[in-house]
Amino acid sequence: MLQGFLVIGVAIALGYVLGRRGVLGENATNVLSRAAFFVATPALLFHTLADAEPGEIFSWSLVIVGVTAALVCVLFVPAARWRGRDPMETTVGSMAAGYVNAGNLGLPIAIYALDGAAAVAPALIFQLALLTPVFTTVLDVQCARAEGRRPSYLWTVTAPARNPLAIATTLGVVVALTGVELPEAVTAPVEMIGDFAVPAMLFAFGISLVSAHRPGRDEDPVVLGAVVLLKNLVQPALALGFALLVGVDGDELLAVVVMAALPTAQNVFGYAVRYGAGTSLARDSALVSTVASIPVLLGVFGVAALM
Amino acid sequence: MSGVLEGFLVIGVVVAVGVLVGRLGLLPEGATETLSRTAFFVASPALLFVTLLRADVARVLSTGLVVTALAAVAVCLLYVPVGVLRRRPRGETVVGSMASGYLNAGNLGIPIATYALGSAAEIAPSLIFQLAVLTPAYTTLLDVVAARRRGEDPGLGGALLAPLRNPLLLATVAGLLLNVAGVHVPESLLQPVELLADLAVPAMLLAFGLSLAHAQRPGRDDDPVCLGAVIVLKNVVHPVLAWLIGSAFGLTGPALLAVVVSAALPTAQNVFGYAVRFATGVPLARDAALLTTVVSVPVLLVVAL
Repeated sequence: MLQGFLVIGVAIALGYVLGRRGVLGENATNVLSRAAFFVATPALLFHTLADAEPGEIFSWSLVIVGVTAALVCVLFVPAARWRGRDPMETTVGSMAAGYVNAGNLGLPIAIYALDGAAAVAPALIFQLALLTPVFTTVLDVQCARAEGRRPSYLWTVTAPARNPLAIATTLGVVVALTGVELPEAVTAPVEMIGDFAVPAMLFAFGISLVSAHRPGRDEDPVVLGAVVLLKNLVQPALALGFALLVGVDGDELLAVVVMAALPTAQNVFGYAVRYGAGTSLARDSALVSTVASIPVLLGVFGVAALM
Repeated sequence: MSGVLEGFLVIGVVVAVGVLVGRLGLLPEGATETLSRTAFFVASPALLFVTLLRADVARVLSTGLVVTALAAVAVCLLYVPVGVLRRRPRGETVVGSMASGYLNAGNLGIPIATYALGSAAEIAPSLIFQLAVLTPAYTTLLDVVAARRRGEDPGLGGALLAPLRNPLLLATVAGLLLNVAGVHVPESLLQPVELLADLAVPAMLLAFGLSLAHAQRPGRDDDPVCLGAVIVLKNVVHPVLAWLIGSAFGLTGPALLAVVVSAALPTAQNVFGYAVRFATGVPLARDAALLTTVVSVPVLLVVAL
């Protein structure tokens, strides 16, 4: 389980060191985040979903993961409104509260500590197929509003059609459901570009830490605290309750709770940079929830071992 | 044969994505530099380390390696008089020489070896000779030339110590030493390195594509004789030399084919990466990689048939 943290930690630490020494150039965080957002992550989403079995996409775990994550995201909104945060930062915080690090941390943990990579599929798929397109579309619309454009109804409704992640997700799900066999000439370049996503995002995150203050300094402590509380405690507790309610048990129960206990995804930081909103909240959430998730995950595995 | 076309296709698509991204202006300024530097300082060293750690040293240190080395060195040296006669800057001559003999073993060589030659191990001699000898030699040369251009005298000490500061050489030597010493590196330690290695090829190809987006027509910035020399050396002289030397060493059949196909590979995009990194000969490296890649398609088809 520590393996996943090690992989992430090494990449982030290296990004930090390189950023400190200015090795990668002035705009490195921006270049890497945008390259990931526009090019690499869509490629990764597309081939992950296109390779999935329809049975992996639609399961009880998916329902539990989906409902829990959606609830946690919604629960953050009143906290942010109460503290008078602007709409875009509220959206980023809401995403940070419920969007787990399924790719970078979830995948290694699933492989090393659970039944295998498939354990992460529900979280990955729900986030890719629903949370990511919904949140990025909301941010697209809010961004247009903040810039003073009053988006037309048509523009708002068609926003996902212009979002690279939503387009890639839709295409991937279509391929998975129809069972179309893609020629290797298509999958090979897509995979190669997709390989770029995770390390680029981790690097961007590490470099951004160079100019960061101590976590929480830029933040309303209540807002950051709400994200961390929701992410690290409320989400796994809700997942546990819901899973017991519908009668999921054994390995599947453990997998669902572990996936809900994962920290905030670094991707959220990538989106925050991309939209220029809530950057410090996303960065601090990812950092603090990652640290806090270590004892939580150890506790979850400890209790599971005892039972 | 499908392997040759597929290798080209994968590279072509990724480079085309880079061109498109550049044309659309999706990435901020400095993107080419950031991507190239990320590859040079982090991702390529990680890739070299894991590749050499896992390489079959006995298989690599075979007649194929000797033939590969002799042919590559001969072609690299053959470019030097051209650069000198055309009175090109020293740094550009170094880049041109590298472009003449340094082939695309990673991005194109591995898929072609796997699909057309039957095993990825067939490209290992080129990969290893380039990584262990050509890359450190050339990056050291470029380092020294760059220091001289800045008016610093690198001195003998500087010249000798330069490779020790080269991340590619350090990674190569570390990988080979651990491999030969038989040290078992736990998978858990290799995983972060592999994550970083994943960045190398796409970062370099995207950077190459971005640079093409704003490029003029190939050859406009170049001395046409120099660019022509690189293309003739890389696409024609290199495979012919490999065939002659290979035959002289008694290679036949698949072993000879592997050596000739490897030598017929186009200029590596890495050469462009190094040119950007050392800010010398950038147009020549870019145009050489582009044109030799185009020319290599018919050459490889002929060789493979």
